[in-house]
Amino acid sequence: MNVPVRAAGTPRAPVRWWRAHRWALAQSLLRLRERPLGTLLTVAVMGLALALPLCFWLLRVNLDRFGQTLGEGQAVNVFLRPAADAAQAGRLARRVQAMADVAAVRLKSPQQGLAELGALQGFGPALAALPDNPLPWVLVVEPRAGASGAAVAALAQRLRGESLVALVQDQGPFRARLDALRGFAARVMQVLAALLALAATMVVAASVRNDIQQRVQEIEVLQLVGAGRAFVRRPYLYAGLWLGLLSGAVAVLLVLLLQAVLAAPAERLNAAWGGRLGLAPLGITPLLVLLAAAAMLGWLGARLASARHLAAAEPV
Amino acid sequence: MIAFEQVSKRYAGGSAALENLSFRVAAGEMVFVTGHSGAGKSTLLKLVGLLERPSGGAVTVAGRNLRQVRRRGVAAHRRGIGMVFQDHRLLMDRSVQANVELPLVVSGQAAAERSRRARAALEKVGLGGMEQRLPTRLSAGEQQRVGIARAIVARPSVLLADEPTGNLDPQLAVEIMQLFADIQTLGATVLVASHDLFLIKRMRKRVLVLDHGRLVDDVPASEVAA
Repeated sequence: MNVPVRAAGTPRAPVRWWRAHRWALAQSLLRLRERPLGTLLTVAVMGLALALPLCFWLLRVNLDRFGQTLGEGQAVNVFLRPAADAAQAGRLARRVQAMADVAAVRLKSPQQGLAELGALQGFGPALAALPDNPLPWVLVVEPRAGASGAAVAALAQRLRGESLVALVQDQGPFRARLDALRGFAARVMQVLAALLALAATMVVAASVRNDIQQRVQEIEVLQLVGAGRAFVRRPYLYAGLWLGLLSGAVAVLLVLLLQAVLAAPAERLNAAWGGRLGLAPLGITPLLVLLAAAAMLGWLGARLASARHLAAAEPV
Repeated sequence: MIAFEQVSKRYAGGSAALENLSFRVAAGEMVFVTGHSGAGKSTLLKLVGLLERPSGGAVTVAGRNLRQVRRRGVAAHRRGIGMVFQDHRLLMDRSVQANVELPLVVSGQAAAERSRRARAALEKVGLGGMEQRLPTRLSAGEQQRVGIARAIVARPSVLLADEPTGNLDPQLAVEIMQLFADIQTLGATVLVASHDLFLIKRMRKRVLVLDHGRLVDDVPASEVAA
């Protein structure tokens, strides 16, 4: 006879799986409720750790917007050779306009240039003394929105290659510095966010480790009555998931609170910049991403702790 | 149902707990394992419940050589076996019913079915009406009965009891042993480790006598003198 030992009336595997998950889910919530202070502290610490990366993300988004605002109006001025006439300037303007990284091209005649110069304080009498207009045709080229410093520098270089062009003035160094600053800030924020996410994971791992150590006898009894590794582990994984989700919610609340506190000064800043520096609000997508990431970090922390500490209690 | 063939068990450090042990227990049979302290009684039960692995020989339960049961299969093997311990191993912060329901939770029974079967098992061991009590509020004998209810609630084909009456007074010990005999009549194979010869003689069941890990006597039930 080769009949495996099997208790009478054992349900089928999918039913068993579903019921085991439901039980683990209920157990995990009970465990969090059984030690409210520990849960609260874990959620608070993890929530703070997760709020900071979200703040960094918001800061970065707003810095990018600020950088773009500062970068606006940094048009590339293309001075044509004095011999170039209106028709040649117009043809070149149309060709430049067709370039992929160009948003707009404005053609400025020598007369317009002279008028603008004359409007500047103190230049009028000097210009009146000139026998004729010495200014050339000028193309004012606006790079496309969000173009990096390198892209604008490349555009300027291409424009310098045109035979009609005498001089190209761009804000290359300013854009490069701005881009470098933004890149550096973004990297610092990424590193800090990664470190804080690691810290949040460790917080959950420590909490779950504590829980496991307090439930050694329960784990042993469960194994004696036939619970497998996954069954024993599941309530801890769910607990990690809940801790992560709750912490994510705390982080979102903290950031929304911060936004509310900063709303008035941000509005004053925006007004001072002519309405071009409106603070980017926290959208629903980053909020959902944060909640999902927090839940995942909680689960990961619980998995790390349970893998290590339950291994010692494994059956033979 | 249970077969030991040339089974040996050595623990780390080299001490031999069992040596060349061979015997068979038929399905539905109740057998006592006795011997002085350190004779190997608990080790024998641990081998059947896969709490330990043999160092040599073959342990077969329900036709399956336990050497073939890999680590992942240990839990499934244990779900088919009820175990009772001298120290009860109850969860003191859970109600009596929650303790008894544990094997049914593990085997995936529905909540209503768990409740029904746990109540029935508690009735069987004489603890009807105590479902919601905490084990800390029960006497040692009642705690042992909870342990027995937990062991039988999943209707295992094998029941192992390691010194189940060690901490109980003689009258209570007899009642507990009678419970095991009742469980046997329901078709379970029952293996009880005990050093209480008075109790063993009174039950008049087959007896395996161990000494220093060796089987020194196998007394059929008919030859056990009361």
